[in-house]
Amino acid sequence: MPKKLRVENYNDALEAMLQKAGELGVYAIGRVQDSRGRSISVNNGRLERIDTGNAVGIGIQVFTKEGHTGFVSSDKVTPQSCRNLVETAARLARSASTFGTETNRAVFEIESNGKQTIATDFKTLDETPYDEQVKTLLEVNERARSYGNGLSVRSGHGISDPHWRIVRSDGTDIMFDTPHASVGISMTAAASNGGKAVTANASVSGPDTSVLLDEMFQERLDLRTRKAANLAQRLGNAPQIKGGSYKLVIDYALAKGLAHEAFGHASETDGMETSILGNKGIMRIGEKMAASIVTITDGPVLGDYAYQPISANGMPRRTVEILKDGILQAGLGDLFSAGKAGVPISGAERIESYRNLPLPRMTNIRITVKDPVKFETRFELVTPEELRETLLANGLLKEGEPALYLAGYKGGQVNPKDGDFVFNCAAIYDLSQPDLPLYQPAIFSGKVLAALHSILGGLGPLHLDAMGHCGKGGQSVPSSGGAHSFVVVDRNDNVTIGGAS
Amino acid sequence: MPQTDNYAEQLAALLERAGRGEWAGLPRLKGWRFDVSEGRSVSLSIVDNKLGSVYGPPTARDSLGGGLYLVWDDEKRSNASVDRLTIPDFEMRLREWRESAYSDDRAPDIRQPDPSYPEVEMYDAGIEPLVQGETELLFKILQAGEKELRGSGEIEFLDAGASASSSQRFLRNSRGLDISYPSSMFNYSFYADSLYGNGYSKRRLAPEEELDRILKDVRQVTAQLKRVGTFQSDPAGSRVILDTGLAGSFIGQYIGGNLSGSGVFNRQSAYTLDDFKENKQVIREDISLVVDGTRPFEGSSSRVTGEGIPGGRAPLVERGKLIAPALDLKYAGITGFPPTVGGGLYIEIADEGHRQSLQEMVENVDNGLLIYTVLGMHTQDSTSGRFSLSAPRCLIIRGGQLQGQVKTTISGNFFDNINDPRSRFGWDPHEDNPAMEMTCQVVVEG
Repeated sequence: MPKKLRVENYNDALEAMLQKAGELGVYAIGRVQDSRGRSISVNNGRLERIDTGNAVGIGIQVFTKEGHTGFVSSDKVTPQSCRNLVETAARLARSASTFGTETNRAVFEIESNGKQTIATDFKTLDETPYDEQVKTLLEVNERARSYGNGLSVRSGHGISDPHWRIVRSDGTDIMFDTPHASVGISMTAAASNGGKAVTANASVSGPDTSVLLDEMFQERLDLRTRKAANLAQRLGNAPQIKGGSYKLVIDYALAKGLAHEAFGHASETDGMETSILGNKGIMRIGEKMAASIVTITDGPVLGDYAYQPISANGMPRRTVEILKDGILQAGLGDLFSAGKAGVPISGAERIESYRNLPLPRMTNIRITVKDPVKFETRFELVTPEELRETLLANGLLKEGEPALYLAGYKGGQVNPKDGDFVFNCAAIYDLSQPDLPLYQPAIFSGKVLAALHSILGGLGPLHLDAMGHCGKGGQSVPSSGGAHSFVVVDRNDNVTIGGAS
Repeated sequence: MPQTDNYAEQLAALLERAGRGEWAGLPRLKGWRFDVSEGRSVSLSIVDNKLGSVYGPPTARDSLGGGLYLVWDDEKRSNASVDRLTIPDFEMRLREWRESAYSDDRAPDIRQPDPSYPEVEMYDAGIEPLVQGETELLFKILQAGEKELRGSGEIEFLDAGASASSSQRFLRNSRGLDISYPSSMFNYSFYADSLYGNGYSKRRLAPEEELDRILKDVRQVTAQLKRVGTFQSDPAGSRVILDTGLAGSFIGQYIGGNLSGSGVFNRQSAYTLDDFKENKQVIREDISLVVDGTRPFEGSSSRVTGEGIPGGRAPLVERGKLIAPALDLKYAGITGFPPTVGGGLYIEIADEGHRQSLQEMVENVDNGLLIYTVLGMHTQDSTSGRFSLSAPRCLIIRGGQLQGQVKTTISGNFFDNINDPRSRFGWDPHEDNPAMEMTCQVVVEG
């Protein structure tokens, strides 16, 4: 049964906002957020703290007929405050016009999306008992500590239940929720035998506290925790890899990083004037941007950590095949820049909070390759040895060929204007050696298009739950995605592993 | 000014009532503390050359919020955020806070007010008119930047921002702590062709000449970064200079990141609690790290922490020796060290009056790199000290002269660097922390 959304309570305030905007002759978009959240942390077997939070507020963006814009936000969502906010926003927009600010009239060219409520039926915070969460998180922490001698373990469980309402002067009035939750474990192995202390992480994500309490997630987290514990204990004395260009095998979380950092950001239309995927501001649709086996898709997945069905401007969020069979097909287009970039609006606008301005962003981005190698072993149970054997058996690796297996995603960064991307892994195995020596993590950096042109193949089924947070424009929003269990990237001079020179 | 005073009075009165057990079915509150701020900010941006576009329009933001800590009669604790609705919805919120209450026998009690709290200048009344709507200055700053940086045709794409804010803070607790004061912020920054940026960020308006200095710096460094050069790295390690901001990031990530009291106590740090008790030498003996909240008009200035610890200046590492971890009240109680003052982390070098400038440091490098930014710092493991980072734009230094840019990855172990007698520091008179010259592995890309 879909839940009742708390943002239903702001009818009077939003009506006042629209009425005032009409009186002042401006177009308004109101974005109401009513969020509740909870986080629990456990450290080495002891409950560290519980935090709860509420956030309610409204952001109002107004447009003059000429397309000048002003933005205001406040945590006061009453009819009077909304009238005042519209007045302030209109004043800011009009004062801006005297300084020759950029205009944008896209809001006047769209049709109303009507009144809709898109509510999920995931567990609400009221249905989530603290005692059970605390007890289970303590058990998870205790179990993780047993996976190594002297391991120090921090565990955290966060749940957020934001409800949103987007109202526009054209009659659009849409309510939706974007619940998300995660469990994270951070394990530190002390320095030993002259090595260094090392921290490794494991996590699972989803829409509600099921990520902590359901057996399926518990088992998944447990397998990931065992792997991370093993790495934390072995990496302290691991040597540094020699830096340079190698053939690479990356797991699905790293492949999500590649899709997200190396391509997704460049496909966001707000930056098309400077993006490597643009030419004089127009997206280079129809051009070959990757190996012909590669497809990259972005779109909301119900129950996903980064789920969002409606954009921050009240447009439906479309699933977009950005790249199909290596050819650029579409962009992540927002209301304000999709048209200029020559692509349809895909409803890609997201905001961290009501205080922020919408920017086109990814939600769940995944990279798929044609005819992936069948590899049925459960991802969490694949050993580097089995991976190497499978690569050799399927012609994706030759005996003795210089190649590295990068395992575990630790975050990344990109400059979409020049196509430089980086991301970091949790560990490196040398696939050229049958005994698969382990090396310290190293930064994987390169040029977007070089990396995508070098994709040789994939192994195993799709996994879409690689979670993270994306920090574009100073706003942190949940991000997610994935790929086949493993993706193979050929050696390319423009894709480098940092290391010893 | 905002109406927080009234809000704070009302919230304190409601918490007092909860202390008297006036809500049926709930235990009484034994103690409470809140830290609330109300304020307004205004901002304006240039995004991809467009002033005040939909992605950076003139903006005004009002906010009221903060944190609350409760001690219940049965010793359970609650941590929660408070907002404007906390007052009208108080009883509902109080019940929610009780539901989330937990037992922690190491959690701190409410702190007795201290005899005094330092006066630190944090408010510039000159910022108030901007915040209240006279935003012309923000437009003028950005337009001046646009003219200076793009007018010459040397810079193709400019991103820039300017903002001002003021707020009133109220810190109160059930033992009589009652501190309130205003603070302000003023910022602007310019980022040219995605290559280099610089800006101003203080709690007071910038001197007029500051804008010219910053724009000149952005123009000159960007021009340097557009010239392509060649660099041959040394397999035994190359000399690199981390610019002031980047050196601060390294120190913060690898040294500051290992000083957290919780991390130290729970063995999630490179340093153990015994290391602090024994004042173990962990970095070079001329280097100290100090938390200082008393520097006037700095963004990190602090009169008092949210827990009520008075501001001040406290060394965490002195002459290379560990003095104390950075501790909140809980971990101060657990470890026996005093709680840490609020403020920024500053590097101090005992250079006996022979302070080298950044410029001199560059001139003394025969073959090396000057690095302004790296990609991937947030992905690094601070406990190991290891770093592996992409430095997509490094300036080549040859014979003390800048010779164009090159793209590299750099790697090494910062614990080794900060102990290496060859590492040196150079100061920029406009920055609080020094640049750092060190040796690391460099791989030239592409």
